[in-house]
Amino acid sequence: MTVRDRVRIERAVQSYDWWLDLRGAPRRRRRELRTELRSNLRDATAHVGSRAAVSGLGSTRQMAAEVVPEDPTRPRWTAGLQAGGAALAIAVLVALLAGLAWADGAMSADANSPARGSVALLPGSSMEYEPLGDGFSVSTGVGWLPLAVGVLVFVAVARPWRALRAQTSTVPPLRQ
Amino acid sequence: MLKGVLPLVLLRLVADAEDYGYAVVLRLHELGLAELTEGTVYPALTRLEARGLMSSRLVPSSSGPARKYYAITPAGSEELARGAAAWESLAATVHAALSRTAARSDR
Repeated sequence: MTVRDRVRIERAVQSYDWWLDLRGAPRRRRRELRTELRSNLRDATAHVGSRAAVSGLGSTRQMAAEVVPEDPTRPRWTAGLQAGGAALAIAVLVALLAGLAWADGAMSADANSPARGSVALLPGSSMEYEPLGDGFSVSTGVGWLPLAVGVLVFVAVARPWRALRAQTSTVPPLRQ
Repeated sequence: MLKGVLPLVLLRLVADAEDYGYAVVLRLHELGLAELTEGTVYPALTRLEARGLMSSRLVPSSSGPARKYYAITPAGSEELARGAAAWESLAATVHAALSRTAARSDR
């Protein structure tokens, strides 16, 4: 089995896992289903190749929907972590590009004087430009906004309040 | 229509011989049911297990992760007998209806 086969199989397995997580399947159940799908895909790959093996699955979203009835009481931790991580990475990238744009502006204004400032759209950010003898140095602090974006997206997708709601609904009533 | 009788066919296959997901797909294809893909068969096996009509066990495989073999349970055998009888009755009724319709159109 080639690396490409393994990557194809793993991509299908992770996509299946993503949809299972969104439907609220418990972690242990998801692990069992992942292992079974991986094993079947490996057998199919040995027989017809990884491309045909994966395409035979069709939509992994549909598969997950047929296997696990949606449980609206469970948080979606994995999906939340993945979406939050992606949002954080994008926000940091945008902040770094804004920092570079700021440094360009500082150099255009006066390349021989040090400058300090921040980007108005990035609260808490700090930019510093300093000319050196043989070049310049730029330091950038992206502030708290990218982290806040990541956390907000994580919370919106993972819906952790479902765990709290489930806990409070299982607490037995006090005896009088 | 095929999807509707898939659980019955799967129970029959697994009653004949304990098997794992991909091998069941191959057996279905050998029977001429090539349009049943893995994406339909795997969830159907999982649902039958969840309903207690099949049981499963992991068997180590030399080619990779352990394979999950499905076997029919006593409840599955009862369901198979009930389903097979219902199917045969339905098939006979539909066959009779279609034959009558065909005979009328020949006149």
